[in-house]
Amino acid sequence: MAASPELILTCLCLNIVSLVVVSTLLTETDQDSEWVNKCVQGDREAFNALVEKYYKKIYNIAYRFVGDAEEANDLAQEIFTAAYQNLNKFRGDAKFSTWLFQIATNRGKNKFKYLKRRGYFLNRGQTDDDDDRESGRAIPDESMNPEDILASKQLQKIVQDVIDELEPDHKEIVILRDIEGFSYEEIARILNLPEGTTKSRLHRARMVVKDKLKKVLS
Amino acid sequence: MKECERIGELFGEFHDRCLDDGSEKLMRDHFLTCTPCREDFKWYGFTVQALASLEEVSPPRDFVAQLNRRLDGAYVTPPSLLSSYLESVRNFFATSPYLPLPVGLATLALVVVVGFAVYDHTGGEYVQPVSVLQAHQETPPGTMTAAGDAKVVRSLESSPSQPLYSPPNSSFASPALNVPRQFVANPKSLTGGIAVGNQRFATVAERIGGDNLTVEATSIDRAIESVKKILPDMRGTVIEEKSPGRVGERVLGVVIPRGAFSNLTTELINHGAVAVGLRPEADVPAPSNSEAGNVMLYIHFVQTQ
Repeated sequence: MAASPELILTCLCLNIVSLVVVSTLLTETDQDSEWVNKCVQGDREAFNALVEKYYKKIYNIAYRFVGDAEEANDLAQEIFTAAYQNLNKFRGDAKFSTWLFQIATNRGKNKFKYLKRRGYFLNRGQTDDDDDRESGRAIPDESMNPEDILASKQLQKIVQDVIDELEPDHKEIVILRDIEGFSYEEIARILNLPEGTTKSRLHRARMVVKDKLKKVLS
Repeated sequence: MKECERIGELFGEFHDRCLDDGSEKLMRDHFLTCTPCREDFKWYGFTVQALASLEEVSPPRDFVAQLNRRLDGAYVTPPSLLSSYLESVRNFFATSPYLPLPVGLATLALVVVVGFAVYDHTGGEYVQPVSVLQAHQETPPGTMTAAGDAKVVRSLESSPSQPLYSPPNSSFASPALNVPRQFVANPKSLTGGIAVGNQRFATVAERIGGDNLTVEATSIDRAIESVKKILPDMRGTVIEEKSPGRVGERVLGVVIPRGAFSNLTTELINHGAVAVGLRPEADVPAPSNSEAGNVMLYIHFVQTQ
């Protein structure tokens, strides 16, 4: 059954109108892209606005990759510097935030690999163990209730130590999903992976963390 | 044991409540009977909670100031004129970075299609498309219809006893010979270079197109014989006769004087057949010098029931 040319034309016109409407709506809600455009034109204030919006999140991601405040500060500064220098390469195919978190994840993973190769985490673990022995609090007290255990500084440190032992691929996905709370869809975009792969990789990473935590806490 | 492994694989989805009812029930039933799996799942849940409970860390107070000092020394490449131009073109339809380039291109393609459609309908007399059956019923013999998307169909079925051949003095005049070009079986095998004597005709054939003319006939043999009878009157010759490999189809390659092109094609149409790929005489490509004013034409004969 052939459609009439008028019908086809009407459908095409509606299609175009809907695309324009969607485009307009999205443009209005995307403050980031406006700042990015200004920044590319040399407006430093616009970049400062982006930094103000994202630096806490970026710093936290960096901290979870390296597990140390000073290293995290360096890493977060490096991430923003890289973003600033490469803004003109930002193609706008994805959100600015996705692009920024991609840089953060890549830089964080590379820094983590670098530090791990140099034995940074082993040395730090040794130092921390000594500190804990001196202060007499290595493992949470069994008499504590679950909420207290979860909130305890010891557990925070244990969990950070456990994720420091993970493979880089496992570490990044645990940080993004379970610590920073990104959705599977966002993680898939940041890591450029299919959503199914994201889920299965996260499951494997959680199983590794679970086994390590079980071993340490049991 | 294997079931425990399978259950372990589903921990994540069970924890995120992404399982269907059947699988969820299977998990719960398994936990009722399998203590190790139940304990393991408790640890799994605890792990997820423990990870989520990691406290937010605060960046140093002077983080932004430090960064600004660092960025003061950083160099940002200003956008070149070309990249600015490309960027504006890229964002012509996708003004937001959320709308990627493919969407912009798709929109551009739509606009082009609409443009062509509008041009096609306003540039000439618009004719409602007619079905084959309607054409059979409505088109009086010997008349031609203007272009548009109309399909001019007058098959030999309408005059089965009438031979394709017509005397040379029959009316060739066809004031509005403007039959739409349609794409049908393409005798590609014949579009290669073919030499007749010292002359090579492939260039013109290719310029006319492989699907020059399609004739539907109840008897291909009789139709071909009729064409062969017409040709001497037009000072034309048959240079090739081939079967393109499909049952009920033949292709006849003929060379005719340029001036006879309209006569031959009109003659074929006036005596029935589906005219496909014909153009007004003005559109017929001019033969090159080497072809000495001749035109080569492929006539594609298709068997009809």
